[in-house]
Amino acid sequence: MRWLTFFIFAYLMLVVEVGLRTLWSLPIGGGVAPSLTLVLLVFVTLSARPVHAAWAAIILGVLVDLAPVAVTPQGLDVLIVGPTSMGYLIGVAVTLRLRGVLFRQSPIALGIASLVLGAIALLMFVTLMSLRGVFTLGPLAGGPLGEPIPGWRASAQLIHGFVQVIYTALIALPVGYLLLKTDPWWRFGPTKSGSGSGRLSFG
Amino acid sequence: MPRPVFTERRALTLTIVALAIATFLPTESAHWLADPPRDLVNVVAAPLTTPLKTVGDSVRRTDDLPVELGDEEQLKWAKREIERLRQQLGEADKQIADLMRVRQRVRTAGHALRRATVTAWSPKPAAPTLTLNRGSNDGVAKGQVVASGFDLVGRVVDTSAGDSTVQLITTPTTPLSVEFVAAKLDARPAGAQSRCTLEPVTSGGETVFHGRVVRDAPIRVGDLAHLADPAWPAEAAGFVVGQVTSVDPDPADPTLRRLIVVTPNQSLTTIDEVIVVVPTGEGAE
Repeated sequence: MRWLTFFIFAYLMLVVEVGLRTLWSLPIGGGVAPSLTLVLLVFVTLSARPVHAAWAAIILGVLVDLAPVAVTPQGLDVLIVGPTSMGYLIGVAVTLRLRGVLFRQSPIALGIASLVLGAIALLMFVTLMSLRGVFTLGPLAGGPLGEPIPGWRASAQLIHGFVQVIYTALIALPVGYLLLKTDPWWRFGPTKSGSGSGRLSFG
Repeated sequence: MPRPVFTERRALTLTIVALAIATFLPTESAHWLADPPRDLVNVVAAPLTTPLKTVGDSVRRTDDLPVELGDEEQLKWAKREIERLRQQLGEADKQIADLMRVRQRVRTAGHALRRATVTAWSPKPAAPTLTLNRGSNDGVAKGQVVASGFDLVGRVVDTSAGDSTVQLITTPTTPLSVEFVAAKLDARPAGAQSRCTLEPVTSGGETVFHGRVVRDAPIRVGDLAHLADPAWPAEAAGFVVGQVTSVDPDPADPTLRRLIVVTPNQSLTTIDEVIVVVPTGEGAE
């Protein structure tokens, strides 16, 4: 994969996502807007080598964590780097196993994969953020063990997040179509197909 | 041939471990770690996000009559719209009245009061902040005073083209010099003894201010603490830091001194709108 292309698209997706949030947000639970970074990650995951998809998940996750976005209906912006990347990584690991049965050059496949990857990433994100309420590394610095996030409700977060994932999957159809048109710029190269093609291993 | 120690897969594993650790860092450390890269991301993204936000705000209007509806639905829609506009008018009247009262009470000659919406708040224990939807394009600059009605909120500590960050007055280690003024007229004489320095103290998630004064200082529960701090811009003088909620003997010196507790009039972390006192460069308005 050509990383320069990835970084340019990551930048464009992030600024469009943040910049147009007001324009295309649905009036549900304080506003639900689609995630273009998620669509980009799905596009990369369906075509790139597993290790490149994992790096893309980390980079996009960190960018999303750093972007000023309210994570609770009260407008609380929690600046913690890690939960989105971890969620994306787990989502990528599962999607890599599925890509053998998906027709990668179809926007519909992108939409379906966005649903899967987004839902898994959401579950991981909510789990990690909820866990912070009972466990952090605070005691190492003389702080409290748990640091609950004010106004955080996992159930509300899941509902809000699932609506966002569905909205993202719908947006993935046109955006995915455009991304597929840029396929030659990415130089993904040949990808193996069949069993084990999407295994992500470490170490 | 020896296998390289630093392979791509090992780097990936190490990064994932680092992210897992970062996820469970205490809030203060997480902010310390993430603040510089966030600022960088904001600076790099601002040239495109700001015009996109402007376009989004201007395009998304709800006051166009939906022509696809029938007559009855259009009438219902128009009634709802009239009610909505009436509410907006009421809110605008209230805002104008607030601004007029602020202008009468606070020395803001040569300054404009610019309204801003709070887009996010960040609960950094060391430096709680608000993010506003106004930035350097709107004349907002570092050091400017931010208030909500009469109540002092904080100061601008960072700006980009379309956003700015406000550090709240409840930030620990930032004492404020105040002057106490009776909320109601009474027979107390005004004097230098009604001044003191307040220190923010956070307990149970709420921040109040503690101040210590001599035992016979003319301060009572209900008095308002107005900012009188030479370290702040002159236009901040007079804004209210909070109201005295208790006056008790100072545990450290109960015979000679009293401990004053001042509570902000409103929770600074749940404010939706604020005013930024922006210099106009003119002598008076």
